[in-house]
Amino acid sequence: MLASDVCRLGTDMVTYLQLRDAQPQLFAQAAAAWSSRSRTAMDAARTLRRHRDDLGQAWRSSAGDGARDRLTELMHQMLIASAEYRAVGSIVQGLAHAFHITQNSLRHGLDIAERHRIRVDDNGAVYPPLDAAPDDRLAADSGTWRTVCFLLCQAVDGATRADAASQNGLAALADAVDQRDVDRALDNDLALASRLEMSMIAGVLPEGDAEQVTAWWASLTADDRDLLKQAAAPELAGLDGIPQDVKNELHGAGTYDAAGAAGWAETHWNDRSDDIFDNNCTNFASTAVHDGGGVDYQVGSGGLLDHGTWEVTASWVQAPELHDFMVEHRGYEVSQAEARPGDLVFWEDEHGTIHYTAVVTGTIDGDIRSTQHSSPRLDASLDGRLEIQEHQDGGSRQTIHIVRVNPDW
Amino acid sequence: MEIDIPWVRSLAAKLRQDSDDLRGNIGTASTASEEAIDRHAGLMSATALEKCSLRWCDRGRALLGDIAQAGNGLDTAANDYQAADANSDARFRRLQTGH
Repeated sequence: MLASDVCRLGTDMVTYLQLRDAQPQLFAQAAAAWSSRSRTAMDAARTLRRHRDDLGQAWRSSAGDGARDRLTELMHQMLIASAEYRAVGSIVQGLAHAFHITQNSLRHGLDIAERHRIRVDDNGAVYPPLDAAPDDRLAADSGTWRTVCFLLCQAVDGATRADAASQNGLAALADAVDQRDVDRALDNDLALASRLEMSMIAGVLPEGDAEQVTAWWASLTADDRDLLKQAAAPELAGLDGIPQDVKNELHGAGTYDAAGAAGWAETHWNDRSDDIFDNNCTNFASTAVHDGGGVDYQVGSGGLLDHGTWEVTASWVQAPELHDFMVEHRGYEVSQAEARPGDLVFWEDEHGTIHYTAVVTGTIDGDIRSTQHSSPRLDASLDGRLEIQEHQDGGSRQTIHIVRVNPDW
Repeated sequence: MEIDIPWVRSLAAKLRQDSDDLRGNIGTASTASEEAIDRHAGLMSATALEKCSLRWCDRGRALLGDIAQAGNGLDTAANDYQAADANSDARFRRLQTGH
């Protein structure tokens, strides 16, 4: 058998030709259009809110109250539309990224094939070098042949996973036209889209031996690698064949394993067994730093104490204290643009009080994805939630602090 | 009077105008989506995006229709107040003049 049926064609699979000829930039442009639509809907909601508030001065009666209620309802519907448009854009952007990466990898495989006169047919079947003797064809350049097979196969598999994930997500969002609750739009639909976007990018990581994975990593562009380091740090850090310097970068210098903490958060986001109190956002972040990040307890200095003894410290369970503790112990704040997996994110309200924390588990195109308790969320979009929450009644502007954990013990 | 009728009328006009202005955006399919769908016919995601796009366009149009209707409702209320006010004035004049 001299040919490899790399596409293993199935009815639900992306074909070799579909991936080779895809135009991921069109998906990226579609995603941008949905994001723009989301901003338009947000502006419309803001205008409706202003009209509603002004109406209170111009029409003071129970009938006027009814009119204001109607404008409030329309404002909420517009906020929901904004969240849903953003969710669609998020999934389509994830698809664009996944196809971009897998297509680059596939093209790299085709370049190698061409240089070594390895033929690839339109079904994606890979044939050994043309000039090799019949009996030696496979042996002549089997390493290169295997590499080409692997790159093409993994590219098609990764694109297929992204295609299936986005199909499921978009089907759910098509049904979300009946959504009438802002919180559910955020907690269910936008959260689902953000998770899917992250998983689609992580889904391009190959399954192979270390040598094959090294060849795959070499096939990526610098931009692709940067995106994967930001969106799939824990998975990448645990993959045999990824260069050690890349793994070192993901884990971070010093005693804190940033990728480990992000991975722990993603694994335990809906595991309530470690929760101490009902509101456990800070306990969750502290446990991620300790259990996932490998940071020792700082016993007896007002810092991280073993909550197993119930001698919890304020910095273990209270967001402002954890923020201050980390900053006082060689940690430092970075801008949102500099955030990376394993950082901690803190929310500060309009009164200057830090009231919530979570673990940064990824960033995509500058939008931070965080994972948290007490309202369990996995890879939630920070930008997506913030703006909509600010425009809900009772919402307020939040200041975000990103802290790079860098223990001095 | 409990209502500023000219202001309410102007708000009604603004709501209808906002609805019209947004129709070309959230009330229509995006060209970029259509191009991505057409170019990737055969992908499950493209089919799903097409359905999603159609349903959200319908939803967007319905929402804009609701906004315009809210404007119409404000106009109707302003008309009713104005008519009631005119009737009150007429009755008051009849009381004053006895005709």
